[in-house]
Amino acid sequence: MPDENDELLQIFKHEASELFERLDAALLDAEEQPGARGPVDELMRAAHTLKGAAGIAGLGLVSEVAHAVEQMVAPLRERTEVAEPELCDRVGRTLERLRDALGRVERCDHVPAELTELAAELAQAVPAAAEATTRAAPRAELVLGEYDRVRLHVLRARGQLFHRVAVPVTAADEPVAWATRHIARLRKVGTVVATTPGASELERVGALGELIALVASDADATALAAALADGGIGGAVVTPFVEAPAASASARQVAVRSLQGSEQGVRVELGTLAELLRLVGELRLARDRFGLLGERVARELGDRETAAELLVPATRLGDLAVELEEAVLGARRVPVARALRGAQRAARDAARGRARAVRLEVRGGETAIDLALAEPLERALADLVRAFAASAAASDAGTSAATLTLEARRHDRELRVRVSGPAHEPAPELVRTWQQALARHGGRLELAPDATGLAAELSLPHTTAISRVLLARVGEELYAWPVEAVKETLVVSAASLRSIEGRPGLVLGGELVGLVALSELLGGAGDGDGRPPRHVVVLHATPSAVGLLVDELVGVRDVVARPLGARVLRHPVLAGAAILGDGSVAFVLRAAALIEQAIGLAHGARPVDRARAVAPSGAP
Amino acid sequence: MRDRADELEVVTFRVGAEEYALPARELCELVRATRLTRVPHAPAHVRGVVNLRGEVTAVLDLATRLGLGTTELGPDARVLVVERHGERVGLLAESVGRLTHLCRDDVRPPPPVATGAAAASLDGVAVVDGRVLHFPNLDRILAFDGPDQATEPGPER
Repeated sequence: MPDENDELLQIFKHEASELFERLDAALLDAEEQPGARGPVDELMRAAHTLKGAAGIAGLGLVSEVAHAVEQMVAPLRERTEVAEPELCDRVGRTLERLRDALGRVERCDHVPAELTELAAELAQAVPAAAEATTRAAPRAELVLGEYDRVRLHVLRARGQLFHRVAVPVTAADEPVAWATRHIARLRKVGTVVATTPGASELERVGALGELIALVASDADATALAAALADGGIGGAVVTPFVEAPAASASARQVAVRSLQGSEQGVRVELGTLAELLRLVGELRLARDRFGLLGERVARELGDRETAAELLVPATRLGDLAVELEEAVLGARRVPVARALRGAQRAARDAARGRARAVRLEVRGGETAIDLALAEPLERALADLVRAFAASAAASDAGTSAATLTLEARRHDRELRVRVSGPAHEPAPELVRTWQQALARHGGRLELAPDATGLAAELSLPHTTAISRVLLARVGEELYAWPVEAVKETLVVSAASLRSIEGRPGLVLGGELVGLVALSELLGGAGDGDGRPPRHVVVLHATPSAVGLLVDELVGVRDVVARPLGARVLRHPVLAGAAILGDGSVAFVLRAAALIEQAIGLAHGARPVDRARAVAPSGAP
Repeated sequence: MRDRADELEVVTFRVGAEEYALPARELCELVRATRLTRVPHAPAHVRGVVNLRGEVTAVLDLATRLGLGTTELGPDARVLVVERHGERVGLLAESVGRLTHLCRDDVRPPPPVATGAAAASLDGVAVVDGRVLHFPNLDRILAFDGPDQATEPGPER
C-alpha cells in the first residue's frame, strides 16, 4: 500500500507543475509588458497558491521560497521597483532553482540540500521570507476576494482514513459558491486534504461537473456518506482512497478529475502510458507474426486461400494497433507552446543591452509533441533562438526590432520546427553540438540561408515509444535505422562507382558520397554474404554525406525499441534493439556514430578502438 | 539418513571437454540455442543476444570465457539463463545433462594441481560416479570487464 505521504507529495508535485507553468507564463508577460498589473497579479496569485499547497504537503521550505517569490514580486505591483528586468531575472532564476530542488524531493519529509540552500539565500536577500517559516505549517487557506475562484486546503490529520468523495453539482450553482459550500460541509465530517478541480482547473470549470475531495476522517465510508447526506450533500459517492485500484497499485494515478459534462478525464503517470505503448508494440508484433504465418502457409503448404484468410485478422489487428497507438499517444501529447518558454526568454536575454530589440513570432504553438520530447525540444530551441537573437540584435540594419519566426508543424511522423530571421550562421562546432544533442533523441537539425537571412529546421520524431525503422541485412543479421535518420536508399552498379581518395564513392545530386561497408563499421559482425554489396543506405550526415553498403534492403517496419543492458550496449553505434515479427532481434544503429566511425575509418582509425574507449568499467 | 539441507541439486552441462555443474536454484531457465543475434564490437565471449519473452538478453560463451575454445551451436546446445545483480545473462553450453543430487560435502576446493585459466574461475569440484563436475564461480565469470581467459596469460603449468 502506498504511503500517504507519497500520495500527497505526488498530488502536490502535479499541482506544482501547473503552477510553475503559470508562473513562467506570467513572468514572461511581466517582462514584456513593464508596468502592466495583470501579469504581476497572476504571479502573486500563483506564488501564493504554491505556498499554500506546499504548506499542506508539509513542504515548509518550498512554501517559504514561494513566499519569498511573492515578496520579491510585490514591488512590481506597487511600481516602486525601477529595475524590472533584473528583478524578473532574479525571480526567473529562483523559480528554476525551486523547480529543480522540488524535483529532488522524494518524500514530504525529505529536504534536499539545494532547497535548504535556496531558502537560506532568500531569507537573507528577502528578509520577509524568514517570517514565512512560522506560516509554513499546513493550514487552511481560503482567501476570498483576491481570487475569482476558490481553492481550499486543510491540514490532514495523520492516522485517519482517507476517502475520495465525489460530489455532484447542479447547473444552478455558481462556481465560487459551489466550491465554498461543499467544501465547508466536507470539513464538518472530516479534514479536506485536497480538492479536484485544483486552482487552475477551477478557472476552467463551469457550474456543471463534480467536486472530488480527498477527505481524512475517522468515520468509515458508509458513516461518512451518511454524515454528508445529513449535512445536505446528497448523492455523494464515497470510496476509500488508498484502496482504489489505481491508487493502491503503485500510486500511479496521481489525481482524478471530472470536469464539466463530457470532459471527463483521468491523469495517468507517464510510465503507465509507456507500458500501454509497449503493449501496442506487442500487438504490432502479433500482426507481423500472422503475416509471416500466412506467407509460410502459402509457401510450404501451397494453400493460398488459407493464407489470404489469415490476412484478415492480421489486418484487423494492425488497424486496432494503429487506433490504440493514436489514442495512447494522444494522452502523452502536449502543445509545442509548452516548450517555448526557454526560447522566449533566450530571445529577450540575448537582445538585452544590444542596439536592436528582437521579437519572436510563434506560429503553430498548438502543434502536439510527445511529452517525453518536450524537454529536449525546449533546450534545443532555447539554444537556437539565443544564437539567432544574438546575431540579429547585433546586426546594424536600422534600429527597428528584428523579427525571428518560429514555426512548428507536424510532418508525417515528425515534428518540424523552423526558426528563421536576419541572423548569421553560428559557429560549426556549436551547430555540431546541437545536432549531437538532438540525435540522442532521434532528431536532427539543418541550417540554410533563406530570404530572411538564415533558417534552421529542427526535426524530432513525434514519439519515442514506437519507431519506424528501415531494416537492412548484412550477412545473416538485420540492422535498423529510424527512418528519420535515412536520407535515401540506392542500388548501385559497378559502373556508377567512383574512387574518392582510394575508397569507393558515388556522385549523388552533384555531391560526392563516400561508401563504407556496414560490416566494416560493425567490427566484422554480420559479415557480408560474399557477394559485393549493391545496396546503399545514405544517412543524414554532417559534415559530409556517407553511404553504407549493405547486402539487402529489407524494408520499413514499425518496431518497439527495447533497451539493452550495459553488457551489450558498449559501443556508440548501438542505440537499442528491436524485436521483429519472427521474434528475432535487430540492433538499431545510431546514424551519427556510424558516420563518425566511417570518417575515422577513412582516416585510418580502427572502429574497435572506440568500443574500448566507451566500455563501462568495474563490476556490475 | 542424509539431511535435505546437506543435499545439493545441480544441473550438469558440457563446456568443451569438461563437465560443469550449477546449483539448480541458480538457474532461471533453460532455452534452446537456435538463433543468436551477433553484437557488433562485443568481446569474443559475448556470443550474441536472444529474445527472452521481449527481454533482449546477452548470451556469453562459457567456453570462450574460460579459455576452452568456442561452443558450436549444434542441436544439443542450450542457454542456461542465470541472474546476477538484477541482470539476466545467458550462458551458452554445448549440451545440458540431467539434474543430479549431491551432498554438499562432495564439493571440494579445486585441487592445487588444477591450474590454468578455467581453474581460476572455479568455485570447486566434485567427483560423482567417476565423473568430475566443475563448479564455476559465476561472479567471476560474469564480471563485467574481465577479459576472455583465452586472451589472458594463465598461471604457469
